[in-house]
Amino acid sequence: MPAKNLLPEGRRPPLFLLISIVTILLFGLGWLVATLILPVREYDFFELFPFVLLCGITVDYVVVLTVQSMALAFKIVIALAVIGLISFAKKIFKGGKKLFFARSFWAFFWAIFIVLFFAVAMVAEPLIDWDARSIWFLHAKMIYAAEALCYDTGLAHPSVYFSHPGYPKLVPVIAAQLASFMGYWNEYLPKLSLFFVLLPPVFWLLSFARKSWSFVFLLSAFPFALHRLMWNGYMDGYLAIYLAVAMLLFGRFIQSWRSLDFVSCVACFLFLPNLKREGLLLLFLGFLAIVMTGVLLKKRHRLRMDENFSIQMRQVCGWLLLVAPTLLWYVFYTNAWGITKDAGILGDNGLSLFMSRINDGETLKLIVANIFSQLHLPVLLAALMIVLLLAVRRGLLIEHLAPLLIGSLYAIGLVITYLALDFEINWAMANSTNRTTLMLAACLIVSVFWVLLYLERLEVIAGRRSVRQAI
Amino acid sequence: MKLEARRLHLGSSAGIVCCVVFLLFSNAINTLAELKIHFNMGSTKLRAFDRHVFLPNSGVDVLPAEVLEIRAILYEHPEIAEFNLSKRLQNDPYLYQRTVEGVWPRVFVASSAFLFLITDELPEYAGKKLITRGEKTALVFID
Repeated sequence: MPAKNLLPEGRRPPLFLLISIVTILLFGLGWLVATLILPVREYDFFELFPFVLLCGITVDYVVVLTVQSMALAFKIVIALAVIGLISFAKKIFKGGKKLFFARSFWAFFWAIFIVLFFAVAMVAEPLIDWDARSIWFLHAKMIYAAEALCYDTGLAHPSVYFSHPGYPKLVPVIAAQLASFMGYWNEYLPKLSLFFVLLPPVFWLLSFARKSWSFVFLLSAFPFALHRLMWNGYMDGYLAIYLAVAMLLFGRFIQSWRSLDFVSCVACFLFLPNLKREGLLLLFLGFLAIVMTGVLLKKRHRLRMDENFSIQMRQVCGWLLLVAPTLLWYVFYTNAWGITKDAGILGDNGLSLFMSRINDGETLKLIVANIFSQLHLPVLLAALMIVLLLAVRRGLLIEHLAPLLIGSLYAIGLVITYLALDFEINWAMANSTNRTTLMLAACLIVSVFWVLLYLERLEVIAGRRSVRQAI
Repeated sequence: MKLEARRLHLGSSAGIVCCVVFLLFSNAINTLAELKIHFNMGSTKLRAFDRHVFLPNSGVDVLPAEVLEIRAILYEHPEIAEFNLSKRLQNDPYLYQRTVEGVWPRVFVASSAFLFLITDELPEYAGKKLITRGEKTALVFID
């Protein structure tokens, strides 16, 4: 493919420098939106950083979706990022110093270390696996070649129908931007886009860092148990990790009522549809879980909108920017370009397939058995922990509602999708259940984590009591 | 008192059990092992690593030989923006998909006169103009 050039000929920044520059730019971009949404209070930089970065990644995508031309979007993004960075610097110098880097230096260090470790794996392997080559990075290559994300990019071309052209373009856009920035395409460098998507959830996960087994368990599950899905270019692992982080942040919000946790949780749920189409269902289920928890708690949470009208408007604008890519892509572009139909998934004969498979009596059993076969370990641990929990208290924890509700409804959605799938069912399940069930595993693992955390707190309380008795 | 004593170690015990079971039966340990391999490779062969990451078109060797040949032929013929594939290539999903994504932005169009085929298929196109013949594939012009 002919090289294009945003960098002077022969200039190659070292890998570390490249990811540092892009991260700083995304941070600057995100800072503009994050300060619209969040009331200016004292936040630890460590916990603010992933939210700002997530906003940056989303706004970058919004700019590309809006202006379509990569070159123009690049200029706008750079300009906005510089404004954001100046505003951030002003904030620090105007007495915000104690706001930032207040604590968690080691957690910050470990988060960067973990993500860099994964980054090496990302660029060590070329694009090999199917989803990566034929969906995400094919779309990235198409955007890079057309220098735009528009109808002429070719997503509606019949020859690429197999590549699910209606899938969201967040990762492809970042990959195409990296390739445009460097001036060439290859099978390694665009994968670095995954690095920027992995940064926020790892930071959020490390914000749960404690010297406890529950945290070891959490970290071994996310991101380590996701294995190759963290670096081979598939989106399923990222969808699972963002879903888990959203549920964890929501659980922590219920415990501490900190607005940053709630805002971050909502931002994570809003981010899911930008990763993969399943994210739309998860977004809906996430909001359902939040509403249901609110109803059960019978308590108005303290995250009220500011009474100042201009601040209210700023917050609304900020949230609209985070919702914009979902609306622009799924409501506008896919319809305008005629790429709403997805190869094999909920197609024209989906209903008849669904009915015939329901009626045959065997397929449903086969699907359920296949899904369950992927979930032995998390189901076993979740069952064990729930039995333990019921031994020490009556009923489940309120934090369990979100993962259990999302997990059970997503499982139903998954079974319905398989029943209506326009592919040979055994082949489809053999190729996908290990990935599609990750969201269910994420829900179960988050439930296990809450039980472990509860038992550990109980242990601390009991420990204090026994010390008092001994004294 | 008994309950208190049990609670005293419940959290740690449950945590240890979950961690051990999870580490033994999930992919977490494999991930660490693979990350270590990649990291060692990256640090010991830094120059080679840096070269493949920052080299245009690197990594295409993962494509099947047929697709690599088609890529090479198209590279020699920049005037061909659209190409066609023989029925055999079209009916092989792996080769078809790898070709379409491997040679993009050159586009597969069924009506194009530039037809790629497997060399075994050449006798079927005996009367057509052969443009290039590779080891596994060939390009013919069908008017």
